[in-house]
Amino acid sequence: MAFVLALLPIILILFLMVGLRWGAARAGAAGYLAALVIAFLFFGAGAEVLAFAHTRALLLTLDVLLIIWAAFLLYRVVDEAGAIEIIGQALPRLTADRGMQALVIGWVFATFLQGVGGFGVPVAVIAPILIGLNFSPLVAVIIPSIGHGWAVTFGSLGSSFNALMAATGLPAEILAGPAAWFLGLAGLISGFMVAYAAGGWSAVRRLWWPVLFLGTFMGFVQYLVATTAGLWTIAAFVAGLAGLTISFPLALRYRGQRNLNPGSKALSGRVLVLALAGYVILVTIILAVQLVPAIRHALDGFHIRAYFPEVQTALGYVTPAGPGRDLALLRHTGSLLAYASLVTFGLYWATGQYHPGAAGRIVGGTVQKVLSSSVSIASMVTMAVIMENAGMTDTLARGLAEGVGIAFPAIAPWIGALGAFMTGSNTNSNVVFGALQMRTAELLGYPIAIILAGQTAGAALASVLAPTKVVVGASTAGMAGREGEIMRHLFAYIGLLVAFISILTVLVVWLL
Amino acid sequence: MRKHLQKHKSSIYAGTFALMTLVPIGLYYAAQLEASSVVWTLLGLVISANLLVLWVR
Repeated sequence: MAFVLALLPIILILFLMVGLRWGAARAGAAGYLAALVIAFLFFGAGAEVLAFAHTRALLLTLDVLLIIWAAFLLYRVVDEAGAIEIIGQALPRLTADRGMQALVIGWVFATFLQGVGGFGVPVAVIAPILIGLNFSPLVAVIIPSIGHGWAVTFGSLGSSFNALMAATGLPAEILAGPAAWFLGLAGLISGFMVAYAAGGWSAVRRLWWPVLFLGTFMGFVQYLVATTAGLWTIAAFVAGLAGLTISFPLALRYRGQRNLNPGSKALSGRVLVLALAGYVILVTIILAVQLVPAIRHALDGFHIRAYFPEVQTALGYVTPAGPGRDLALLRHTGSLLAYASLVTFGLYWATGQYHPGAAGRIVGGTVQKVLSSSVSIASMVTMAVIMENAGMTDTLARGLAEGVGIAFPAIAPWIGALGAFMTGSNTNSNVVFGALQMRTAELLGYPIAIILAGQTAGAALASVLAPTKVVVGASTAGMAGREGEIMRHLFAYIGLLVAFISILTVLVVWLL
Repeated sequence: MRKHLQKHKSSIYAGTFALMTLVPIGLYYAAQLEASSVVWTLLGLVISANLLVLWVR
């Protein structure tokens, strides 16, 4: 009975979002209210437990949202200057080979866009480009959806990975390596799937070498950057950028027969460099803060932190005393993104890239885009922390440990995938299930970092199947109302990828 | 009523988000002072805001 009650808020969110097609903000509010009532009535969480749970949740919420807000702000600053369009125009000129076009645009460029933007941006930007290259609308949505999933955890400048760290309290040093390995291997398979979606088995046979090379290279770069102290924020972005760099010479080897855009004017190097300037500025700022101690020290002055006393529910579940999430505000990843946004805006403004009223459109567009997700993340994070402090997560973990036992490593990625599918994001899935997966792994004696790698990899890959993302893809490809068709096709690819992660998790747990 | 609220969806979301970020600060101090009635009043505010979000399509 306790297990069912503890599960109820999660089931409720799933039912409301998938069954009734509610938005994440409304479903999150319902989940939060359900968790609050159940924690109070059935798990003995009194005023003190609930009050401190809300404050702990606030710190976690800010930690996650600062990155999301600022990442989207940077994307809007760059997009408003037309830079994303310029990068998108430059890529199809490289090759007329359809399989290679799909790989470079739908996989490598999608990875880059996920690294810097996320929030459905890769599909929204790439589907129209592919349609312009005569791919069918369905394939034009499917290709970038498969192509960017592997980059979601370390994408959006690491917001989902940051959520995993926040939810579990574990540092990047423990979590980043296994997660980057799992996602890198999934990325390689995604590349073959993109080739298959573009041109069937003949494309896979013809393009196996560039897929293998690009996939291994991007996966390795993501691993290297993610495991280098403090740079996990830019791991997917650097992987995408490195992939794009390598794509140019590779694409030249697969130019195809057709004369590309006859008569069209080639883009100048200066225009391309200017288009990429925002991201060069971001990398420079992040590297400067990470590698120059004086800068790091100078930005270390202002922290938001709180110490929490030990609290206990009426049923005896104890949350030990300790500090909450420490937010070093001036050197937080979100702040670094905000600095990059400001400098980039100044550069584009000084070079005349903006039309009048650009600042208003950038801020307005950012607020409009992040408001709803801010409410949903605040309510879902609070729900997760209430469940944790009231002992509901512990009850679920014990139930899972008893129920699935040795099969848990195989199931962990599917739990992450389910969370992403129902909440529409890898970040939310990590917030809702991160602590549960960690506690269950602890109880069963499995390596926590591997189980959490399975959680976040499953969530990242399945997030592309979330109804909210599919709706964005369908609308940009002129397929509104045909979301079910897209989801059916995507399900086969994503199901295989999550199954692969499930097998990988079992194998690694078994080997360790 | 619901249609009227629908027109103010963004304001309701913004207000709810503001409450969910500001109220926990009050909750922290109220809980430390063991002021249960203040805690429940503040929780009531957040609950009401979330009920509004639930109500708005």
